Amino acid sequence: MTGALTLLGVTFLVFGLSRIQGDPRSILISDDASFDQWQEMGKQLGLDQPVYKQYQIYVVNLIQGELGTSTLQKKPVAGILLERGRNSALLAVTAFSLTILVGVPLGVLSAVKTGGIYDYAIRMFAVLGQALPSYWVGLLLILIFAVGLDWLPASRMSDWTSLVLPTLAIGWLGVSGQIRIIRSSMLDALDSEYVQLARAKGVAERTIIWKHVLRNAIVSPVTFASLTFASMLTGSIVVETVFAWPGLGLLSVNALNNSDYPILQGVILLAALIYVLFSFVTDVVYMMIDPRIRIQ
Amino acid sequence: MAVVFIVGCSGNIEHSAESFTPPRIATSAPTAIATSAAVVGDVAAPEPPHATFDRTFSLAQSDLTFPAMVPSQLPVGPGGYIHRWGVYETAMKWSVDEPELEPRLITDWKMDSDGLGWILKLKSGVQFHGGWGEMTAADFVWSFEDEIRETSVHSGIGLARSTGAIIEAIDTYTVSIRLNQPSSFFFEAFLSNGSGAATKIFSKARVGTLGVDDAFLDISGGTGPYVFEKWNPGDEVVLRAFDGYHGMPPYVTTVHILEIKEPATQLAALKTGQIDASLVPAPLAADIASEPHLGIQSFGIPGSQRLYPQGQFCMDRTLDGTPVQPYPRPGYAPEKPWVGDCDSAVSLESARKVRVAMSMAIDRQSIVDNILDGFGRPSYLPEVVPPLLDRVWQDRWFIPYDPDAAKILLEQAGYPGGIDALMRITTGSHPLEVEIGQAVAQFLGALGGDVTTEVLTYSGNRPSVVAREQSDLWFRSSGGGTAEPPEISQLRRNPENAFNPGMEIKEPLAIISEMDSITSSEELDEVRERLYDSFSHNMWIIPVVLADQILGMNTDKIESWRMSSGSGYLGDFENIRLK
Amino acid sequence: MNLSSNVPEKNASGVLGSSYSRRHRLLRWPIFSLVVLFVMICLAVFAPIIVPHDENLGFLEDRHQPPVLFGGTSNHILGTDSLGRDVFSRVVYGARISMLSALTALVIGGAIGTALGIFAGYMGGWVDELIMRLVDVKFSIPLILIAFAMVVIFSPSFGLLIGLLTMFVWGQFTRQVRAEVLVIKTTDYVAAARTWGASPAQIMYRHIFPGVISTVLMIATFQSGAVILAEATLSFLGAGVPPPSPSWGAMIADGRLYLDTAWWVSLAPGIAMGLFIAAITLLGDWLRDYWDPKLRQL
Repeated sequence: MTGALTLLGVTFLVFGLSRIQGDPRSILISDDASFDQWQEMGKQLGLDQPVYKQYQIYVVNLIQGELGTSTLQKKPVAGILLERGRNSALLAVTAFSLTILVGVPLGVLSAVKTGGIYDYAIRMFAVLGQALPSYWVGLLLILIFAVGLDWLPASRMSDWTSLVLPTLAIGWLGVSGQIRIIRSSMLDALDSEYVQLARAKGVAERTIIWKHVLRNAIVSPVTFASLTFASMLTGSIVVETVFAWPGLGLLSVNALNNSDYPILQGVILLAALIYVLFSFVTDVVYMMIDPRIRIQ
Repeated sequence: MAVVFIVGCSGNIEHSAESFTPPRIATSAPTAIATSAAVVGDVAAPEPPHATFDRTFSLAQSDLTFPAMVPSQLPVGPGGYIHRWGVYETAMKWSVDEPELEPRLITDWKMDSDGLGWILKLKSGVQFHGGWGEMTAADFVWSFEDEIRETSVHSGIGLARSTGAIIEAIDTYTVSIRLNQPSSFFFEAFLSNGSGAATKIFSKARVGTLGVDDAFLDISGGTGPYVFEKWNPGDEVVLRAFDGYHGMPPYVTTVHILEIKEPATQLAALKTGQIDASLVPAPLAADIASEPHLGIQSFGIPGSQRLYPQGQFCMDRTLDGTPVQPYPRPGYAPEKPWVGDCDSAVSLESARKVRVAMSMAIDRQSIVDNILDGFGRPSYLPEVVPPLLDRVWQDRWFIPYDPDAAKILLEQAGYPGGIDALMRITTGSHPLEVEIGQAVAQFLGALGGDVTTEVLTYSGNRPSVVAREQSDLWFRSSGGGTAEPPEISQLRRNPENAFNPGMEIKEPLAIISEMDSITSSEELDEVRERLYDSFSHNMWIIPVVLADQILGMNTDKIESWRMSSGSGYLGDFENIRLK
Repeated sequence: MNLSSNVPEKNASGVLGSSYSRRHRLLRWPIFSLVVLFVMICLAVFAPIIVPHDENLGFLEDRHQPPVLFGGTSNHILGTDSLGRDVFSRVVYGARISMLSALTALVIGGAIGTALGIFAGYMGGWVDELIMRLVDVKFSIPLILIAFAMVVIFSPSFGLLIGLLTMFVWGQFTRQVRAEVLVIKTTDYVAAARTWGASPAQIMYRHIFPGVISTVLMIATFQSGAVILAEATLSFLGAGVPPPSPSWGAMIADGRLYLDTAWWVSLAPGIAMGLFIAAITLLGDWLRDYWDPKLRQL
């Protein structure tokens, strides 16, 4: 399957990175390891064997779920990723829901009322969302809603109120993209021959929009949405840093500052896995929506 | 003799919680000054805490990397947390009110008649957290020995090895320490809580039972007033008052320490009350002070910001005659204006002139006034911090801001058009490091040459520094100063030890090594004067400014917080009183 | 606008289905975009002549002066930053540097991406497979993480920044161009060229490539906003333009500690950047409508 090939490519990249700068043990093992541990790891990695065999060992280990131990925290990487991944997932799921719940209706509204005041306002909102850096948005949100109005907590993950601001900071970009994609897909569908025909036949406008137009227009937005979710999960470094949200992004920052390579490796591989999974899910959704694609 | 010794040793740690400089606040906010004075006021003897109430206090930190809970693997930085936070303890600690060491885990100590060791009497009835039993001499000995063993990362190894320190248990509550040569630094470095080398007492039985790997992660095992309830790396630490503490139980029962990396967010959290205290960057001190429920105060020892002109590697043999390998060092660059040719006295004198010129080109007062908003002062001796600085200061060490004289010096040295340089600014120590570094680069560029800057992380820069490969300028910041005598930090910069900021110079090291055999404070000061004269004349390290540490806190909640000095980390939570 | 009153009309190419709304949209030139872009490009090009102060040199005594309308002097109409440098001068130069960085990344990334897309689309088979897997790998790795790692290991530089931005950008070109090529491949004139015996290289160069140009330009327009935003994010992580050079992203990042005290330090470049990206995005929308409604999927 193509997904597996992609993952293989990523493992190849990560493997290469660890070998490029010399002995991989110097980044995989903590500074205070003993000489015996050094030798032991050498045997585990198969460093006495040719490179392709080392790669094979590496991949086999990965498949078995052996991600190594964090050099900084001295705990298994997998456990750490799971724990922090949950927090990132919470943020991503919420932001993603916002993308759908807010982005889709606004996009539809904008397409249907093209040229009007609603269209303009929504388009401005969307264009702006793609024009401002998320960390700036985040800091401004904190300043206004936490410090200024004292409605919401300024940082960290606590109860549901702490979810609001980081979600907005991440979500604005996603919502904006979704609005614009839906709008353009729908406009294209609205222009199509099929719709003109339906109109000429006198079918109700509302039926046209929700039954025909949206069905045809859904393809791109679905792709966009799934990719957005994947990137929200893994690309939230900046927002997590600003809001001190204990997720994978912040974990990566700490790992980088402390040269904790096993964690970094774990995050990259996890990100790739999520991306591949989502691509797969997207393909399945396509097939369900559009029978024409099944034939291909 | 004991008293004289303490004074001699403690000379550089004169302080009390009241001896901070009242902050100069740009906007008129008299209440802010009054508030901060009230925070650190005269407090009567602490009243016994009420065990039934749960009093919490929250603090933000920008980095909560998990340290190690085993002495040999405890790096200096995070190690500073765990004894400042009152979880692990040292033999003695600096008193809050007087510039004196007071006993903590020992009841008495006596110096041997030949001056080469001490006998320590341990306190009895000190219980370890987590039910690991009572502290005895065995734990003391074990903690020390683990610190200095072969693969340890402890920062005191060099000193322990060079003095041949041996520690032994005489009986259950008595310990003997012997050195093979006198050292005026040893006692305070290892037995007080002021330096990175401080020996924290761990339970021997705990490591024995759990094994090193599990003990590394185990958060019980200290003796202090607080015990770790949880430590989520990179997220949060919770401290809980320890019921069986051998001293006065702390007033605040729960301390939350939250990691917030982004300084702007940290301050927002302070303003909204999510945290009760936080360090504040100088330019924002006035803004924080103007909030009705917040106050600010300077605390601890200012951090020194300085410039290392790298590439000065003329030391071909160590002090005891061992040849330096490899020599010349990879970073030795005689063509750089501030380095010079080791074999030519003329060249070295030109290089000296260049460094002095660079130093004179920096308008230190302007940096203090404009970037630090007055929270700091110009620095004229590298890494010499108050109170030692104020005690030994001589006016001849003053460096005037005189770019014209600097240009003349450069001409004499053979660089009439100014000097070209690359300045690396490393990050991670101080929120204003990049601003100050860039300001310094601008001042140097005003001499006529092309001075470019590079900003990178400290850990990214470190490997090539340790490898003695760099020969450019390195701008280095520190957050809070340590009370450790500066000579110790310079002692580490010799070919034996790993770290080196880019220079190996015999002259100051020779003077510093004279300090080892001195026991009287007058002699010590005389040697110091010579040392600082040589630094002032040669400018091997170019000092820039001392930046105050500023603490912002919720004065509606906090009555007082008496902090002893020592390292720059916020701590002494047991001294917090709430309103 | 009443959609139900649409009457199907033939447009210039005779295709049934052109709607009133599309023509209406086309007739409205993107005035806002063109004006803003024109002004900004002028600022960038004529920067050395326009700016009143040296954009890299500041005087510490002038630190954090507010803009002229908020208590400042006319010497610094947009105030000064943390080192006393004139914000207006830095915003103008920032236009130049931000745009140049984006342009360089787009040209290099676009060239690479387009070439790969044409190869993949036209050659098909294992070449296609390989290139698309490469694209997948690129998209699956969080680039921000890689960027941050690069910066910790190597120090920040223009070269590193351009490299990272190029990495950010090339994938989108490859994907879209390949899709376009798959369509062009089936056209009659390509089939004809093949029967004449033209080599694949010739076909790709003379027949395929011209067909994808409009797509490429459109992708470039849309990606330019994303690239400038990416540069802002990299600046936050310390991987952006090396100091003291101003770029909009670096300026916003530098001023983030002072958002409620010296707010103009971040706001001025933020507004400039926001305007620029908005303008270019709207322009891209219009171009898309103009060239081919089928490409609305972009």
